Amino acid sequence: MGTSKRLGEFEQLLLFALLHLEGEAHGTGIRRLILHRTGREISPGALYTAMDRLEGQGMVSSYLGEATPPRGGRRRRHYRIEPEGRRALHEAWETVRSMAEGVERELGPEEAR
Amino acid sequence: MSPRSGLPPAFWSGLVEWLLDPVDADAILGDLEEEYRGDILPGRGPRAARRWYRRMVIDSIIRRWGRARAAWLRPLSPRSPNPGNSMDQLSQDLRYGFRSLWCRPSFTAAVVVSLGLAVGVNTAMFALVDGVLLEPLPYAEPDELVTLWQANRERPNAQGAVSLPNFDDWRERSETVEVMASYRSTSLSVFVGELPTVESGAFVSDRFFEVFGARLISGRGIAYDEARSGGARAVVVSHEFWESRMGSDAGAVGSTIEIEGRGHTVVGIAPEGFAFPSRARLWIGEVIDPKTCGRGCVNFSVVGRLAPGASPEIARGEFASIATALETEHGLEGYRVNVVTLEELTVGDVRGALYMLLGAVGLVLLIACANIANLLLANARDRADEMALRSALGARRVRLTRQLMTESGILASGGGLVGLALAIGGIRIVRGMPGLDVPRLDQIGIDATVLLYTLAVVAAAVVLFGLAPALVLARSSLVDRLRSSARGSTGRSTGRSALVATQVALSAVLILGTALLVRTIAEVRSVPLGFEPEGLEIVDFSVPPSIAGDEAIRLHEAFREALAAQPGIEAVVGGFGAPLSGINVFSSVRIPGWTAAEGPDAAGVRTVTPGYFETLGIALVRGRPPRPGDRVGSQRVMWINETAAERWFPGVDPIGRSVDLSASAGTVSEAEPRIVVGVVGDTRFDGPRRDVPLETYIAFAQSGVPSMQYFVRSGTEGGALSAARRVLADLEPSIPLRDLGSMGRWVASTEMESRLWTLLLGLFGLLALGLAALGIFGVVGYQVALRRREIGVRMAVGAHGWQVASLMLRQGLGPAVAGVVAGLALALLAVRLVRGLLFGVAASDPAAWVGTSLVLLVVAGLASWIPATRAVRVDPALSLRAE
Repeated sequence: MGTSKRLGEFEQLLLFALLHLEGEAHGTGIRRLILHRTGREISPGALYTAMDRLEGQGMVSSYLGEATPPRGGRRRRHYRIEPEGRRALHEAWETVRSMAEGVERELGPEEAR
Repeated sequence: MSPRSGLPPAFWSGLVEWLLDPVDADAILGDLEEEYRGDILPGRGPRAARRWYRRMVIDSIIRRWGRARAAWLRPLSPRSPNPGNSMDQLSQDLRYGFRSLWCRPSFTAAVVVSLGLAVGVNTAMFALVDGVLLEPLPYAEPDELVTLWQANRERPNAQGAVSLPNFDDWRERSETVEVMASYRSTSLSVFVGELPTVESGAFVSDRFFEVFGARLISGRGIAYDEARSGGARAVVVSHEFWESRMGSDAGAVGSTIEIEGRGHTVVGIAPEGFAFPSRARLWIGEVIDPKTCGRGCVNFSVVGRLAPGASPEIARGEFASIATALETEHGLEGYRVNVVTLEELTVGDVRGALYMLLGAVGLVLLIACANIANLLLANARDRADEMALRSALGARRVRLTRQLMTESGILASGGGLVGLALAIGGIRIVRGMPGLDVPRLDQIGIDATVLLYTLAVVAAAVVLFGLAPALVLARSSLVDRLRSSARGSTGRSTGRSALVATQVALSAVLILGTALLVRTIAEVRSVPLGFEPEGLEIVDFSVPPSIAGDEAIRLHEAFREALAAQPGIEAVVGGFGAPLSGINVFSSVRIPGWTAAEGPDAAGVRTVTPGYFETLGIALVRGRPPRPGDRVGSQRVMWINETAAERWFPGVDPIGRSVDLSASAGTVSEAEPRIVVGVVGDTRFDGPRRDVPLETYIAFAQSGVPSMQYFVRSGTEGGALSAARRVLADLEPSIPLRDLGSMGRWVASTEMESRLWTLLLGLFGLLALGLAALGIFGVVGYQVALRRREIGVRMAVGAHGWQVASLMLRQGLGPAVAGVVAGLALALLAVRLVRGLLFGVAASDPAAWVGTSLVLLVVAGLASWIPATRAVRVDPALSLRAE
């Protein structure tokens, strides 16, 4: 069922974040990036729930990292995007782009038109 | 710095660890702690950071649980828990309990919401009662504080103001009241820095702060000389005033501030939070000249501290003899002294209402428990099969009972939490209500005592509603259950019907109480006030003593004329004593020719300007209205109300008669009698529930009263206030104008409290009615479901739909009728609690009793009708085949 699965908007944000953060993609890093780029503050619970779902669909994989003092001695969970994830993200992006073609100007602010 | 600083709040971290599985909790807490310390705490500050942390934790838990729900509802893993480990068993019970409740969302929600509502109203009411009635007053040894009042033979419980000579005698003679001081609330115009303001304050005697055991932060209280004529002018300021108006100036004591146009030396700063009486911020000496103001000249209230070992009762005995002595020594006919504890004075008015409401929420709790017991009973029957099966597979009875208890515990905790949240919200709403004059309302909140009470309520509820299903389970043999469930049950449920009848009975009490209070509101509304408050705004100012006599009168007249000439102002009249505001002057009245046994009478004295009666909508029954010519030098005139006319001049025309106000308070100095030139309609200036007082009105220009309220009718809302400010600033910029708001608001606020009690009781009544309706609905619905087969058979052999429906209807209406009868009997005892709040309605008011019965029966009918009609729609073929 993985191949036919369409990505939700939130899932797309997460996968884009993984592309940006190659190697440094852990919970905190991903949430910081999304906050800085979109202004959206999401809770760790929301992130891990979505990541679990993506992992179940083979789009991402995860491994436990080292424990560090700033985390109160807790271990980090790292994520990597898998080929399946890249494909799904590409597909989602293409879908949006093809739908947007020719009407991008309509999306601008009212007075710009 | 505490060792924990920089770490996220432990409670919320603990919650994550407790509720989520360890791997999950580790990842989430790690992320949160890293960000909390790295970004959020340095960036947003500790408060916002803690808020952020809480938000993140709650959201995370909800998300993880949302995902986990599916897994949580799957059967337990086969890895069997260690049977010896009770923690393992408990955790298994908990998980199983959560799961089983989650699978029956409507049952769970019904129980949690019913319990939550009941616990919520109980907690909120208890917090109110605890804060207002049970918390001691914020003074040292508050039980020793008493207030003393002048009363008379006819009204020994009157709380009449006290005259200076009497006060001095009390002080001298009493041994049971160790320290005594006088006080009188007032508002004072104050000049500190740039702006004149009006502050609430009090005239007090010496030893005032000593009575309360209040240690001044700095300086001393008002001294004896400073409260006598000719003494130095001194003021004690509140801690709050000192901070906000004097900038916490260390040299404040000894400095001078201008009050009522005269310099007063600051002699002390009151301790933080001390604000007696009525939020006073300034205390100045009460200066009364005993030469011009005798025993009839009553001015102030008296507060005292009981001597060690003395009780209010002993003090009452002593003052009874002091009063008798003064009565004979000074010819004070019928003179009495009334001793009231300060506690009683502060909360006496609301005590009855609060206890009534506490009783009401107790009933709501009982009704909710009956409902929950009903739900649990149905539930126990539904689950009998499951229990039987588990027992057949080897579960011991103890284990099954514990499982049920765990579920009850989960439900109770849920209900308790919902209730607590409701209570916190409810208290916030009540505290925020405008115009509510409940003492110490600002002090109520959820504290340890209230939490304990909540816990006790929940525990009591668990016992109450847990009892029923436990009894059922104990009675029924599980094997029987397995066997009988194979056949359709036709069992009747007398237990459940009894519960429904109880609910209806308890609701009847609440609905009847509400009905009586609602009738009271209607009665109060229908009482004619005797004046027309709508559209009038009130402002006032006092002329300082530095502007004397004629000049003061001229200033008031100039103000009135200038304000009347402002655009948009339709009418301006002045008069001392604003209706319902509590600004009143009373005087002793003698009618020439009266014997000592007949008088004196206490009557209200109001000053009036021309147009007063017309603008306030007070009827002029006889005689002439006030005229501009009524001033010093011309005939001394007065008006009296109809009640006074009837009492003082029964059967004769009062016009042209004279009335003697010479024993009046210091502010109304009357050298000789006045001539009655008019009779006006009765007014209830103290609110619709009070009796019509004796009222006299004297021409302002002949009175010498330095302050006056102005009643202004303007075309626009608030237009009067800004115009009046402008006019007064032009005339005399140093005098502050006080805004007393609209007269309509005063009228509304007098009944505000009683409306709140009615609203609350009505709310509890509705809640009770709703719960009872749910109970009836449940019982009838359950019967319909249980007797499907029987109904099917009846329909199949030709019973009409209405016959079946009425059969089912009887299931609900039977207990309802029994409940109404029992409830009305119960109400006979309970109406005692509301009697004190009623006005113009007898506790036996037939409309209220009949109305209550009808409402309950109609609601019971509707609640039975809906499930009963469902029975009619039973398809005989289907229901028979289903068996």
